[in-house]
Amino acid sequence: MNPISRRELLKLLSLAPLAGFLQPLQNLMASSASPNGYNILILVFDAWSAHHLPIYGYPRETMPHVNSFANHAIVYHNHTSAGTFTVPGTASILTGLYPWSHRALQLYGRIIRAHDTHHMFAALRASDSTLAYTQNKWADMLLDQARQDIDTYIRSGGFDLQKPSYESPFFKNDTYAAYMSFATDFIQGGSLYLAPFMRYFQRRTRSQEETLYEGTYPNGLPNTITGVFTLKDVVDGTIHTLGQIKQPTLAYLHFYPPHDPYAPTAEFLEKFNNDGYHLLKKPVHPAAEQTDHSDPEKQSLRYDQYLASWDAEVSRLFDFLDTSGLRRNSFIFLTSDHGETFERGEIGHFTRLIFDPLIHIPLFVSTPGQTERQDIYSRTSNVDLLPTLAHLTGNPIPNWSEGSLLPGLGGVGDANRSIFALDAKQNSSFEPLTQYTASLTKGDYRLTHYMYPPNIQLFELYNLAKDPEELNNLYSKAGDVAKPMQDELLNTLSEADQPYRK
Amino acid sequence: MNSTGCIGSLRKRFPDWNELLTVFSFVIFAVYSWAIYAFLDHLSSNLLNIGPGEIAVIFFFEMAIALLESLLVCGVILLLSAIFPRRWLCEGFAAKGFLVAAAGAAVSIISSRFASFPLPAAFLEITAFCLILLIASIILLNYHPKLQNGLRSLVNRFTIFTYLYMPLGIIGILVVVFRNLF
Repeated sequence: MNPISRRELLKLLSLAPLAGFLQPLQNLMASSASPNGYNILILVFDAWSAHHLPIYGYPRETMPHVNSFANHAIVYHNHTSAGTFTVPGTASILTGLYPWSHRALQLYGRIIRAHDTHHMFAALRASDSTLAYTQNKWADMLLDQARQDIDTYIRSGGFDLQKPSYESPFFKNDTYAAYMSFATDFIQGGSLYLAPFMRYFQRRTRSQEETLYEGTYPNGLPNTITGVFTLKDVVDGTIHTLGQIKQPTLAYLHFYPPHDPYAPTAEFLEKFNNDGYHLLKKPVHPAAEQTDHSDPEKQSLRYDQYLASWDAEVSRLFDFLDTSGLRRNSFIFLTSDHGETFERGEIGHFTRLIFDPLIHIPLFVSTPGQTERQDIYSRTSNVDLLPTLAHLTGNPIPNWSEGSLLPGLGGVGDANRSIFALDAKQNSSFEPLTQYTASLTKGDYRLTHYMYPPNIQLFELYNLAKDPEELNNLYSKAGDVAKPMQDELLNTLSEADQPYRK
Repeated sequence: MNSTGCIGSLRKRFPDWNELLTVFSFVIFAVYSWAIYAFLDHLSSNLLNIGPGEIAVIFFFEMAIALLESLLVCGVILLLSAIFPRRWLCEGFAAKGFLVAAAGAAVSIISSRFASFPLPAAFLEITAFCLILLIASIILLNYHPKLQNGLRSLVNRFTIFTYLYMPLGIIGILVVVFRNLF
């Protein structure tokens, strides 16, 4: 090969300014990697049960603005969470896996190593920028596992009034260890001399904030255990964040409301009082833990008032999505990680029980330019989100995912589909499942298997079409329905346990 | 006064190195034992979802914090001995420093029962009682040197824990720094 002459070199150098145009060209090519270039916005409201929304038949007008949003979206009427509290529910959304596969089963649980790179941020990395935020510290621990695939990560206390100590940027590689040692061990008693001071100053700061916002939040500020916040600040922070995204972006935004403690604003504190609605009284379940002895009727009312408060605030976010054009350019998923219950001796969601209020969650998907509401009645699961997102962005559907494409977004409804949910918060992630509650919903029926507490081994079968309140256990009467469902549930769990048997 | 005289005068305000080490040994014993107890308390639930490697990292995080806490507490006691008249704390520092550290630990353990703001009157009463008991004990030690010597020899027994716990704290700090610097 002949050496380059001085003249040729000068000619080449004259092309150097063109390099300045390469970056925008690369960006253009990168954005065209996504066939439609739309954003994906996933808005998760924590502990949000479909049973408290008028669109699903609830008599109280708890969330009129969400209703308006849903009127221009696909409404999924039978959407189910695979978990009954934040960790398994969120992990299923993020990974498209059932809890027996991702194994984030306990309160401090994380996705098992074999699956810790299997999440929506990795699946959509090729086509979209990624952004993630959650106020829930346990969900934040799951996002922490996906950090290398998240371009913009907002810390869980980012929009709160108090910033947790473990969120120091110094612990960038060890958020989980910092959280476990600082927040759970150190402050809660692991430090002999300093913990009382820190707890005292935390309470003092919280008390000062409570006093400052007493007028707006007469029952106390909303709080995430690690910090207090106002609904307004969270919505403002989200609007500011979404205002800066570059198309196409996958944004996962997980808000703490309406998770307990229910903190309605003064405006909604009296709403629904004496409106004549009463909870249906149901017998205490033998597997109920009954740790909360407060009045379920009163707590349910507070929950509704909090929903109304959150709805009023989040309406600003919906307006922003409309006025900024984001709604035209995005698929917007509005959903939850799990539900909430006020029956059978349980209040909240940290329970062994699996009944509809705990796993039946809202799902509304606003597609770009959608003007009419579309109703889908097929049974769907939150494990379906990840494959659907991959499909919508033109990415390959990950082979690890256990979900299907959502009907209306590339999939078709299957009346005979099996939908599962699992609670195994006392089971080791590294051992076969022995302490759990698992349910299989198929067609009109739901079969639930209780394998804990230790003195309980129970099957229940309900016909959800004829008995939506799940009061009439058909297990011993409808063996022809129960037996095949029981075999399917036990076989599925047995297969999932295969890698953990010694 | 020249600089040597100044330093000499300043040094007189602080206790003897061996006595300081004795108090530090007790503080290390109390802080680390408490931290290990808290760690073990959570271990069974941690084992459900965390692998041994991550559990070790959490353990060393806590050991690093315990070392810093021990140094801080000792520093505060040392500062008090420099501020107060020599007879109050600096003279017979091993025994008196031990009493201060023990009283602080007692108040701290009791305070964990009170989870409200502002702190209830009961807590303030208990703290006042501990403070009076501490002052009375220090006065008693001032007039009974034998008692002081006996207490010092008792506190000396804790020195062994310094050799056990200090390395854990140093390894902890190295683990935290190296894992987060790179």
